[in-house]
Amino acid sequence: MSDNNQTPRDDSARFGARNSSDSGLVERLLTAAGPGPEIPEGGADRIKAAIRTPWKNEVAVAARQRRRLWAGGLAAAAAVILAVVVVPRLHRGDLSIEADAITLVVADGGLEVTPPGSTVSFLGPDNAGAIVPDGSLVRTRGDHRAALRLTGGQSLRLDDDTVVRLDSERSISLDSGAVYISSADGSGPGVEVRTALGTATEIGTQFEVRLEHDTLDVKVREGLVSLTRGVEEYQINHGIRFSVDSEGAVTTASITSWDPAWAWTQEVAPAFAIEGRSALAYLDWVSAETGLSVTFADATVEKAAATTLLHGTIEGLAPNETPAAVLPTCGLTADEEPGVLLVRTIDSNTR
Amino acid sequence: MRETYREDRKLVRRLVRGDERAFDAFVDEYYPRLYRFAYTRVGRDEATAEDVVQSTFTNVISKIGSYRGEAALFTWLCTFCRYEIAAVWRRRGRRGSEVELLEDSPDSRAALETLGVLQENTVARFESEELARLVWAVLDHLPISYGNPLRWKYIQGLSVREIAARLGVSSKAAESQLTRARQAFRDGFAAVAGE
Repeated sequence: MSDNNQTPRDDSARFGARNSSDSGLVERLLTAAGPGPEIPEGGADRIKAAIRTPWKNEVAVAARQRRRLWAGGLAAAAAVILAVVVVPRLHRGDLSIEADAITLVVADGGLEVTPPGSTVSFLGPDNAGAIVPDGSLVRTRGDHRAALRLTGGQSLRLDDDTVVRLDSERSISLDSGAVYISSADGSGPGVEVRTALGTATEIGTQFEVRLEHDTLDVKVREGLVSLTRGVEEYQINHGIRFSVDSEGAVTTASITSWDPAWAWTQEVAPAFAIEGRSALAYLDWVSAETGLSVTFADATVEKAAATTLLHGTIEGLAPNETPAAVLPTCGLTADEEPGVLLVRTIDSNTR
Repeated sequence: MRETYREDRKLVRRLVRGDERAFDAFVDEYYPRLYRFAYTRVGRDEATAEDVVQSTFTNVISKIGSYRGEAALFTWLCTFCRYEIAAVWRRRGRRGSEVELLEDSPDSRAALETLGVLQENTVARFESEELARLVWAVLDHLPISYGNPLRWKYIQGLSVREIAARLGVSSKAAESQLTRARQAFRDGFAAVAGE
């Protein structure tokens, strides 16, 4: 790029005095152009009003299509089980498998795994349960995501375009992208996530570490995370989003446990094995995965949830999709309000 | 640009899943852009531009699940908008070519998705109105994370601190974002201007 001395025709009049700086030229262009045509006041609201209903209809149709795809061939079984059975769009393995090795639980697309001293292999949705050796370099590309189970029982989830190295059973190096750690089921020692901008160590928690645009972003959903950067140490409580850039500038903000920023983690959440479990235990899992507090319309509803046993499987459904499939089989339904999943009996909901 | 599509894909994925915040963000971010896009192509008729944008959103929302992220979401939306604009001109018994703009040429449309290098004297080749239109077109085709900070800084006159607050980042991070945004703008403008 050069700023030569050819004097354009009315340049100085239109763009002010010549300035060779990068920001000067851009500023002059933008200032000369002005704000553009005035945007009609309330226009966006009118658009929302016009398309909200068609949008919701499309969302409902898409959800029905997903379920219809999964339900084929299982109609007979559905007659003798309480919970809805679906064929998975993803293979979501059970968290309890392969206790002494790192294993693939969910692959939403492909996962590249390069074990130490070996060549890259590709794991897909059909490889749930495959062992991922210690020291492997693991990469998700494009829209692909994955969930691994660490030897301590924690769930390690990789967002798209993420590169990590599994240094040891409790240490991960994040090169780029984002990982989410969930040890909400009471698992082993704290996992540390090392990055070029600091090391985050969990202290019994659910949290995300994201390294993008030269900024380290740590969001804590539950519990507490310790972040060390050289001699500095920060304790990050749940509900806090902590960011530090390569210059060391720190910013913090609050984040709720149900913020949309957590939504991607549900897409690769390991399935909850509902067979023989109570609706209450299932709802605890929904709460942990969605960040919503589960409340009951009254004590009768809570008692019904505690005493109703579920059968079947919810594989293939993201956690936030499952209440609509599972609760009606127990005579229950749920309304989502900000931060809360309110569970009622179907009758009380319709009154 | 790859980063743009990734964010676009995420937004669409949330929309398809029924996320209300994604719905609001989708309309709030793209309504002004599409309005500016339509306005300059329907003879600067405000009512017609609004109608065109509403028809565009109505058509788009029923097909939103078909967006694959192979182009920027705004580029994809513009494709729908162009059909609506062409329909307006057909109804008026005129051809759309009467309002063909420099940024509508195949080269410029391709350039909006590619990179170039802006020379200072490039800007001198354009009349003020044409220049303004090109600037808006480039701004609207930039990733939102670039276009918005540039508007806030140079058109609305916000300070870096205020921009940082809007972005939810530190002042230093906002300054870095502005630097990247300026570079993206220069590249995009140079490409569209045919440098």
